[in-house]
Amino acid sequence: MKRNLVVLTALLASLSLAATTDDHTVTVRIPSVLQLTLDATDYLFDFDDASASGTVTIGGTPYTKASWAAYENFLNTATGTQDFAPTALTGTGGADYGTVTVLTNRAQWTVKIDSISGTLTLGNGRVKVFAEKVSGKGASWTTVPTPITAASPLILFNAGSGGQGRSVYKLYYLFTMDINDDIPLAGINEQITVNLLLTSP
Amino acid sequence: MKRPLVALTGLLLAQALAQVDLALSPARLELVLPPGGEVTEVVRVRNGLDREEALSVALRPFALTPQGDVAESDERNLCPHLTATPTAFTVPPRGTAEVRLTLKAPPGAEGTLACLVVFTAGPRPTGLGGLRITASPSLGLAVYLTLRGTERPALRAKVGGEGKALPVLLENPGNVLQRVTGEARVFDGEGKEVARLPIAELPVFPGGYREVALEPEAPLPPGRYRVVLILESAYGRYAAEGVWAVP
Repeated sequence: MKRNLVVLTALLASLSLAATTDDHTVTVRIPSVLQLTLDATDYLFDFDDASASGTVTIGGTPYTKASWAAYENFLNTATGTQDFAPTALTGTGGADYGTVTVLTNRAQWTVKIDSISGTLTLGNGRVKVFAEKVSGKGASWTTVPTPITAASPLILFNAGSGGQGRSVYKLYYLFTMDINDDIPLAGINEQITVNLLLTSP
Repeated sequence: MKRPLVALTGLLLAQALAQVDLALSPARLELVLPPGGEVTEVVRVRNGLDREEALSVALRPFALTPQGDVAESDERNLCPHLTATPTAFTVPPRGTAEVRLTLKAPPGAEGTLACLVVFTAGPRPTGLGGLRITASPSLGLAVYLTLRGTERPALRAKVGGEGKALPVLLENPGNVLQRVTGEARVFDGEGKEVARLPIAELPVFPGGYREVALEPEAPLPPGRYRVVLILESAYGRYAAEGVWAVP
């Protein structure tokens, strides 16, 4: 009987030891992340350009690229306003739009024009923006090209839920010319900076 | 072999073209401190480009709109009690920079306070001539601080109405940020459950409200449905019931 008790005690002790040595620590570390990638950061509207031609289709509507030929034609025929597509973009590898990519493991996020630095002689309201969803999550808030001054801030696209993963949007800018514009003798060479802000509430 | 090579070339080209590639981690901070308490958190900013990126840090008080967007507001301003160090720095090519955020919970304040920490890259260099629009990118880190022992949580939910998506209204008459998770369970006239519409970590700002429209994965046939909304937050569980008319 005594021997059995000793064996049982030893067995329990070994089990207890086994349980101790089998203890594991599992550490899980998942950082939350919010990533913004842009290819185009410079949209040029050059109405003195001699080489640009063609149109850019935005939301189903073709817009003529800004160039001297296009502007001359506008001066010849226009009675009101006309929206022009950029002459050139830097960084897009030839595409007529900028690409904005949001990569996140958060369900909710928003990309908006947070602020505008600088003032164009013809008014910042002459610049229109249009965001078009290519893939991923969320939705565009611009149903038509919208003046960048339409709201402050101006939401371009967002995901209210289920926004995790990679979401790609095309970003177009247009410039509105008015036949009644009185352009200064020295011409207009100006720039504004549009601040794009990505946040997750 | 040719196809992978083409794909790789495309990938390299796409990366080479990026003008901005910034990542922020964590994506948000939610902290709880007793009044008078202090904490320091580290935020990392990663630069995915082969060139260095100069960034500046700005603090802006905010509230959440009914659509859940961040809007500037002094209502529950945490910014005077938050210090970012450094406020201007350079992230090395394909590297990471750390910013320390020190928060001091103000005595006398109650509930949840908020501040947006905005990391802004400098405007990109541009060419000359013509009319130019340049983009300057920013990442915003929403920071919430709740003062322990001062919480007065409350939530009112209204569910139902008419539309292809289920209207939900969440009101937060309390003084703390409510981040609610749950689902709307949809029952037909015979009491059979026909859909479950999830809500995940939806923030409702103290003193504010939130409107959402929950869309079913597949449209429901026209009719009237009974809806039970069950929500949970760090402060408790909430339920509401309503009728949803699908046209």
